Amino acid sequence: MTRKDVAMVPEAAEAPKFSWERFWERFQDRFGDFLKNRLAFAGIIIVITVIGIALVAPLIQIHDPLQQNISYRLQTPGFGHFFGTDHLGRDVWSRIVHGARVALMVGIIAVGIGIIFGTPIGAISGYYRGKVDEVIMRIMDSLLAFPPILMALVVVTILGSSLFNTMVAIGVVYIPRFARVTRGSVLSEREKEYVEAGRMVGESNLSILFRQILPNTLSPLIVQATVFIAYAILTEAALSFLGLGIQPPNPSWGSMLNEAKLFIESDPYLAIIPGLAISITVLGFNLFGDGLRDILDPRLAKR
Amino acid sequence: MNILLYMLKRIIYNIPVILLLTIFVFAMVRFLPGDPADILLSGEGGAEDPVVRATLLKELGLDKPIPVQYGIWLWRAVHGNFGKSVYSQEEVFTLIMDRFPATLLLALSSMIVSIMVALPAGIISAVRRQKPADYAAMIFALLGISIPEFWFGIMLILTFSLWVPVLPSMGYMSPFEDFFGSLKFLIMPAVALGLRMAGVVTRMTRSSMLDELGQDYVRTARAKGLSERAVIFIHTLKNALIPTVTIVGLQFGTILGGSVVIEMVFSWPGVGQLIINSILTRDYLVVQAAILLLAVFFLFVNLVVDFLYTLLNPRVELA
Repeated sequence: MTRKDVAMVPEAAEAPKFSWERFWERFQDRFGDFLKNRLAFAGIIIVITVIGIALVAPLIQIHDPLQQNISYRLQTPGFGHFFGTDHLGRDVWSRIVHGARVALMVGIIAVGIGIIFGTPIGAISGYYRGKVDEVIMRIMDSLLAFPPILMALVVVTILGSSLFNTMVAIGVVYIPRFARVTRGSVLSEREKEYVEAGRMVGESNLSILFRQILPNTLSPLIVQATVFIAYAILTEAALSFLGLGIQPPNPSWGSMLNEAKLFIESDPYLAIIPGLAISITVLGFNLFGDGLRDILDPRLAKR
Repeated sequence: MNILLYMLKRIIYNIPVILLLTIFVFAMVRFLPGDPADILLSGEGGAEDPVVRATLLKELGLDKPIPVQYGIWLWRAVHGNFGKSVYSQEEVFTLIMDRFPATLLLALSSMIVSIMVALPAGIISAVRRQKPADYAAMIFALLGISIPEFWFGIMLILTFSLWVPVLPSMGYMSPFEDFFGSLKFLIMPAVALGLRMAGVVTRMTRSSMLDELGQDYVRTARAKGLSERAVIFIHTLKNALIPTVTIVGLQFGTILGGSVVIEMVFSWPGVGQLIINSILTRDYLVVQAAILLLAVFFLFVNLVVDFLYTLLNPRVELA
C-alpha cells in the first residue's frame, strides 16, 4: 500500500532548486506536445466546454429548471425543449445545464478541500518522519480503509444531505488521498541536495518544506487533482442517485438519473441524457489529466 | 523467515488501524445531531414508549461517559453483538451476515469478469502498441473509468431486459440452488460493477507490460535468439502482473463501494442495499455495523494482496 505512491516523482536532478521561471519554461515546451496529443486536446476542449456551460448556465437555459408544467410532462426531445421534459414537465436541457454547475462545483471544491487539508498533513508526515509520520499514516490508513463512496455516505449521513455537505463529504474522502500523494513526493524530495543545502544555510525546516519541497511536488499533485475531480463528479452523481446527495428538486445529473429510473421503459431519453452528460464530462477530465501527466511528468508518459 | 516476519509486522501495523476504524464508526453514530436515544429510536419501528427508551438507555449505557460507551460497544462488537435493528428487530450481525454472501458473490464475479477482459486487453494493447488494437483497448479503458457504473447498469437493463428481453432486471438466486439459473441474475450487475475496474486494470497492465518490454533482459533474450517470442512473453508477463496484483487489491475497495450503488440498481440483496435502506430508515446501528464490517473486510483483503505481492515479487524490500 505504500510502495505505489513513490513512483509519482518528478525528476529534478538537473535543476534541484525550484524556480518558477524554469517551471513555466518546461510547461510551455511541453504544451506544444500536449496540443499535438489529440486525445489530450479533446480532453481540454471538453473540459473548457463544460466549464463554459456551467458558467453561463442561467443564460443558456431556456426555461427555469425548477419550473414544473404537468401538462407538458414527458415530452421527447424536440423544438422548444431540446432534451424534452421530465415527469414533472421540467425542461431537461435547463436541468442538464444547471447540473453541470453542480457537478463542477462539487468536483472542484471537494478536491480543493482535499488539497488544502491533505497536502500539509502529508508534507509534514513525509518530512519529519518518525513518530509523527507513524501516527498520521495510521490515521490516514484507517480513513483509506473505507471505500470512497461509503465514506462519503457516512459523512453525508452525519451532516445531512445538501450541496454543501456533499462537497464536504467528498472532500473528506480526498484528504487522506492527497496526504498520501504529497507524503510520497516529499519523501523523495527531502533526500535531494537542495534540502541539505538549505539546511546548511540555516533555513528553517518549515521554510524548506513549504518554499522548496512543496513546489517540486506540484506536478503529481496537479495530475492527481484532475483525476480526482473526475472521480468526485462520479461520486456526487452516485450519492445523488441514491437520494443522499443533492436533493430534488435541485438539478443534479445523478438525481435526474434516479428520477428517470421509473420511466425507463416509456421514456428512455430521460435516463440516457444525464448519463451521457456525466460520462462526457468525466471523460474530458480524464483525458485532460492524462495529457497533463504526459507534459508535466514525461517519465510517466504512457508512450 | 523474512517473509513471515514481514507479514507479522503488517498485521501488527493494522491493529491500531482497525482500532481507529472502530473509533470512527462509533463516533459516526454519536456525532449525529440530537439525542442518541432519540436517534436510535427514530428509525421506523422505534417506539415513543418511555419504558423502551429507558431500556435502551440502560442497554447502550448512554448514561455513562463516552469512552466507557465506546468500550462497551467495542467489547460487544468483538463478540458479534451489534445490537438489534430498530427496523426489523433482528440481530444486526445476523442481518448483515445473511446478506454478505450475496455481496461477496457479486464482488468476486465482477472482479473475475473484469480481469478476464482487462488482462488480455492490456497485454494485447502493449504488445501491439500504436496499432488499432491498442487504440481500441485504450478507448475501452478510458470509457471504463469515465462511465458511471450505475448508469451503465441502467443502460444494460434497458438493452437486455427491455429492448431485447433476455435477462431479468432484478432479483437474485443462489448459485447453489441452480448454477446456470443464477447466472442470469448475476451477469448484468457483475458486468456493470466490473466496468471501472476493467478500465483501471487494462491501463495498469498495458503500462507495466510496456515497462517490462523495455527492459534490458528482453533485449538480451531476443538477441540470444530465444526461439519463441512466447518465451519472452511469459517472463515479461510474470513481472508485469506484479503491480497488477496490487492494483486489483486496491480496486477491491472500489468494487465494495460500487456494489452499494449497483445493488440498488439491480435490487441485489446484499450488504450495500442493506446499508442504503438502513440509512433511509435511519436504522443507524445497522449502518454502523455494516460499514465497520466492510471496512475490516477490505483491510483483510489488502493484507492478503500484500502477502501475495511479497511472494510474487522477489525484488521487493521487506524492510
